[in-house]
Amino acid sequence: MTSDEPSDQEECSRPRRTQIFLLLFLVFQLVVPLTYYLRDNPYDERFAWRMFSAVRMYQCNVEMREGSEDRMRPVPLGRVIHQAWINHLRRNRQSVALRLLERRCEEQQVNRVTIQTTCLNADGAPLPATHYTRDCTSEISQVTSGTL
Amino acid sequence: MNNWNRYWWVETSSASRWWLMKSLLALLAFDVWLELPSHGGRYGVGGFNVAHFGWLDAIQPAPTPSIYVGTLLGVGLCAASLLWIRPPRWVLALLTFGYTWSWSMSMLDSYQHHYLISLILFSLTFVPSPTMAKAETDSPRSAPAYVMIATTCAIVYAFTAIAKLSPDWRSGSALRRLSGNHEGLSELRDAIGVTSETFWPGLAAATIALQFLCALAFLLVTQRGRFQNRGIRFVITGLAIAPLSFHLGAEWLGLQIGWFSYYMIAITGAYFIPEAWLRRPLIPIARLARAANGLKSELTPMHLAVLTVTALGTIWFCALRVDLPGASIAALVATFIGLILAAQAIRLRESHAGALAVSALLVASLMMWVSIASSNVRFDYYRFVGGDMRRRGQLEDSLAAYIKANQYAPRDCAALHDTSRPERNRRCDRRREEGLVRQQLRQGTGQR
Repeated sequence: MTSDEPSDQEECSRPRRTQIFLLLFLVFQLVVPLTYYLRDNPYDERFAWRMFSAVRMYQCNVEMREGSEDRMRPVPLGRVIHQAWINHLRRNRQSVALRLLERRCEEQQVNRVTIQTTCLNADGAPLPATHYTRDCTSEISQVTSGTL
Repeated sequence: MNNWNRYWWVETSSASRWWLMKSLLALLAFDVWLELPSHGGRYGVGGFNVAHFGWLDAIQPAPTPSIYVGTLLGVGLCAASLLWIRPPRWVLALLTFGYTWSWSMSMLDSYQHHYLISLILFSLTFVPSPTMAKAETDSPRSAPAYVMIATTCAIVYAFTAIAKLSPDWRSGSALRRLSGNHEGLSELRDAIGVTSETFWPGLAAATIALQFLCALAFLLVTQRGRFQNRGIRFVITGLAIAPLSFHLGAEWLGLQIGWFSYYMIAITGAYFIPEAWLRRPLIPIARLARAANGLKSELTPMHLAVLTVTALGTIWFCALRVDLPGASIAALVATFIGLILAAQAIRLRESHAGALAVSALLVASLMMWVSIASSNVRFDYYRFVGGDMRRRGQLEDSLAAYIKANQYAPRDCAALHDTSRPERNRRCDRRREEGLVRQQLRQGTGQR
């Protein structure tokens, strides 16, 4: 069906273009996972080829609260999002947490939303908690690490 | 020619390229039909989604079960069709795009190997593929994209090994948790006669070394033919034991990694099995393809038109029988591809090629229907939807999903009270779940 065989002329001009293309694709494949090691967010291991890493073995608890500055109430996560997203929060996925904060701010009578994840490493030792906070009025989200 | 060029422009066997392409396409088709759709009900729940890339959220429609499952089924149809013909490059590109979108549309699909498969499919688009009829006789030729796939695998193994150099991996505690104190590993430790304090760090170190060896194996395997010394070629072939043992080990441990191991085992086979062995099974396939070529002169555009209509009818029939959301989207994609291929064939006066392409689509749609109908994918899809709806208080929808799940319950669910198989009972006992939802609904009505 297809005639993929290159002509002689194409064959001669191809190596140069192909070389550049190969180089770029190779660099891309090396740089993408390397960026993981330059970030200060160890939890997002996507595209870094860290299957079965120690970070994957961390066990985290997640708690979400919302309301106003003086009256925050817990949010039953299972009623709000699918369990699969809760699992992402338990893996401390920053982009999921931040999007969820934005989402909850769309609800009425919600001025402030917080998510706190507390994790244990593979040895069972506690790690610094991560706090995600969003002020719905100013639409500013903050991520802080460490115990409050 | 410098070393850089020598590495990429090495002669590659047509049989290896053929097996690589066909085995990956076959695995991909069944993976997207049988493994992935069961969780499609998660998409769009509560109107919440986070794509793998922020910019994608801005431009794509909000993923729904229909979009996700439909994309998967379409990708599967495309991959299965390409099993029977020499893949047109644009269809491979479309397949790469469709598959990449299927996982990147939402972080709900977070298997890391799906990104790897996208990289491989991208490279595969540029791999010269021999025709079926010449699969066993084509002479070797240089194929940098084929070398790139092996290099990609080497990069993946190397980074995976680097990720394990952290202290809590080397101490063995991560591995211990990962294996869930697998009984077989405890037996292995007892057989070796070492304590846990020695065994787990030792096993962790061996795993890291094995993954570095896998990386080395994939870097060397494409260069095997350049070595004059038979001993060296033999050793390189023998390095296949590294990826094979790693992935068979992962399967033995029961790690939840989808079909990753199967893909890697297939790739290892295509690259490491000696060419003569890969060629032998191709002889009857090529003979059949040549016999089909003999019909070339007898096919007219009218035959092609009739065949196209039959194929499209079959595609739609199968899609409707599949009874999963989005099946009509998949049928639409397949119809589009089928019509383009048929029109292209008529324009080029190659009725034979067009007939082959639409026949491939017809066979692919039958494969999809039969494989889904004989699997538990629909049962799992609807019971997961039912469970989620029940948790979220949508009892009527939950009941409808459970009723549908029960239509597709596996046959061995008939005897539910087999106490020797508690795991199966839990999975099968959807009727109990359905009863619970009915009861909750009745109570809710009474209260109102």
